[in-house]
Amino acid sequence: MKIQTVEIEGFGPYKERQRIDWPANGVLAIHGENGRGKTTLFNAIRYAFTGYVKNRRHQNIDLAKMVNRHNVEEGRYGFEVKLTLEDDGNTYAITRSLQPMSESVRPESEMDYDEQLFVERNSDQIPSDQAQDAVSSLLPESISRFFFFDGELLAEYERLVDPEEKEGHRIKKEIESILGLPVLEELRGHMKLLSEKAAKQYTRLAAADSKTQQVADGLRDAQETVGRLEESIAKREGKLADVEAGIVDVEERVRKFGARGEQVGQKRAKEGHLKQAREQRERTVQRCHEILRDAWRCKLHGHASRRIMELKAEVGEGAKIGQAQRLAQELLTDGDLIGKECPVCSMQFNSATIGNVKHLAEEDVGDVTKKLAEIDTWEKMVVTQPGLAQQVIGDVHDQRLQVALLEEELKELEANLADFSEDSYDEANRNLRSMYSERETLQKAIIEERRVLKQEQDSMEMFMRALKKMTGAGAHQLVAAEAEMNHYKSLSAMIQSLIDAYRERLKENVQQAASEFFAEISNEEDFAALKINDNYGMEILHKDGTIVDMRSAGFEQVVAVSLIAALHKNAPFQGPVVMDTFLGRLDKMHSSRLLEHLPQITAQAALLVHSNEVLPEELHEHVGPALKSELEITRQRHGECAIVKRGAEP
Amino acid sequence: MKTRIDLETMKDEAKRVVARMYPELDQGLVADLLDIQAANLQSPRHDTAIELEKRIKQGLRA
Repeated sequence: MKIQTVEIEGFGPYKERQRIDWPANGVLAIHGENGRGKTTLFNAIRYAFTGYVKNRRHQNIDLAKMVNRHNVEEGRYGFEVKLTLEDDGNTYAITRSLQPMSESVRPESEMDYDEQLFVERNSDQIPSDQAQDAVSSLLPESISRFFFFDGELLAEYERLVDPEEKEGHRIKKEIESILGLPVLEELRGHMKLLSEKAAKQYTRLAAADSKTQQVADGLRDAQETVGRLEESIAKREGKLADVEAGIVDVEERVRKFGARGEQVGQKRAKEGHLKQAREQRERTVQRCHEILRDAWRCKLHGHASRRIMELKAEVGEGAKIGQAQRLAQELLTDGDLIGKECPVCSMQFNSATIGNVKHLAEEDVGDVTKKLAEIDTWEKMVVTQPGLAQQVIGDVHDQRLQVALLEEELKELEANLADFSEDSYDEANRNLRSMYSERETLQKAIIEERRVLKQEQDSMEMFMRALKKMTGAGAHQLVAAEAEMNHYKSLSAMIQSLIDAYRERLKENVQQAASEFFAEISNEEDFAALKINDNYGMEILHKDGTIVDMRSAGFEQVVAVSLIAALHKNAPFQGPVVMDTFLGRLDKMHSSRLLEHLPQITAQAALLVHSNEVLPEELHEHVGPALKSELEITRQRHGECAIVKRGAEP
Repeated sequence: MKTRIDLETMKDEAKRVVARMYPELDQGLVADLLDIQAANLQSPRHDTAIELEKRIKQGLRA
């Protein structure tokens, strides 16, 4: 496919109709400083093919935003992009436009517009219901990114190197799509259907014979269960693929919340800390009030401590005397003590010692209970230690300060997040959690169904073997049906082997072509080859046979460019390549080498460049005679640009 | 969606796979199946399956 012309009107800054005549071969360079409309031009061409416009974060843009603002001021709404191209000997004209749905209502968003697509093949109008299919067959959307690419695409390729990266599997499918693998996968699908049909026919014939009917019934049941399980697994796998794609998108969205998302987490942690700090401060203030209520008692502390010590000593002494008195009283209740032995000193009592005992029994040793009560009173009175009040007041002060600091920090975070939708952030995280859970449920269900499927397939084999033994040579129809069934089985297995072999061959070819391109562009002495993984990710192989682990960002881009070049070399579909502000990601040496080798990637290339990426004279030097045409995007006024021949007067 | 393919390379690869792993299969049949599939990329699945089946049965009858 080759683009012949591009016409744009009312799209972005292109207020008036602009026309680009595309050279049939070689490189078209379109110069433009930042903000002139290079990416808008890129988007306009892509829009003609796909019907959507994406921003740098690969999100769809409301098409109403692409309408030229001066036209809107003048009451002219809508835009049009027209491409003419040549493909396979046919000429196509694709016109995609956006027109207001109603003349009486001022359109505000995409919903207020109608999109119209007209496609002509060799000047014959293609019916409108087939127009999009016709465009898709010219450039399928799944592979369009290999023809229209910017720096973002290169960043995506880095993910291919990681075999665990889910996004890598999606890109792998797209790569295999550009390399033509789906045709074999379709064929495999058909072989499977025909194989199943032949197996059912065989079972029907076996069931018609009374000798084999019972086994055939078992086989039919197993076949039906296998069919149901396969269908269910396929559905679940489809759903799983959707969920995984959704996870990739939402993870990307959450990632894009970036630092602001982290700040939401910080803010919530801070709110928790603040709540705790406030509660602690309240408790300490309460305690402080209680302490201050009795603070006057500190004045009594010295006197009270001394009195408590005295009383404790007295209580101790009194207790000893009290014990002896109780003993004396017990001895006296036992009757006459004359001639008895003292239980303390073992001496015999005499009249003198009995007199002592009587004296002791009657002696007033003071009221211990009263003293204990006094100790208690004093202790309660001096419970507040000196210095405690100051310490707690200090704690209150510290905690108030901490609360104030936290409030300040929180205020700052809240100010940072003032225009940030926490609801969207929460919703994205909620979605993500729900999708993780759904993925896990689906994975478990698939594992279980596969286990049962295996059992049922084994049963089928068993019934088949049994039927084979039972089938006599006379059962011609059954023998023929079995042969047919086996034939389909062989064909199915062959197609699977063909897919495996073809995929390996493609990978080898891509690896070889990418290695050659990389060698030419990078000029690395220690470079041996690029090694392709299952996802078509590329690793750099050192001369000593080891994989180069640490690759600079610039090198990643060179590897990615090499992969793109290799895909174009091996793809059965050849088309124009449009690169938007792409060279800025490479250093001077690599970008100049890429320019030199650009004609090797594609026969028809367009470069949208600004002077910081490459100077016009450098472009001439490196692209050489392959540079066929140079245009420039010039500014007419704010919000309006024109595309002119480079060097021409605007 | 139309998918561009390199039919000759596929046939070439199929020839090798058949010779190496499935000598009982007819190489002409395999090439025909690829042709039918490639020619019917935009046809409904059912129509393509019928055409493929016709060709396979024709081979079996022969």
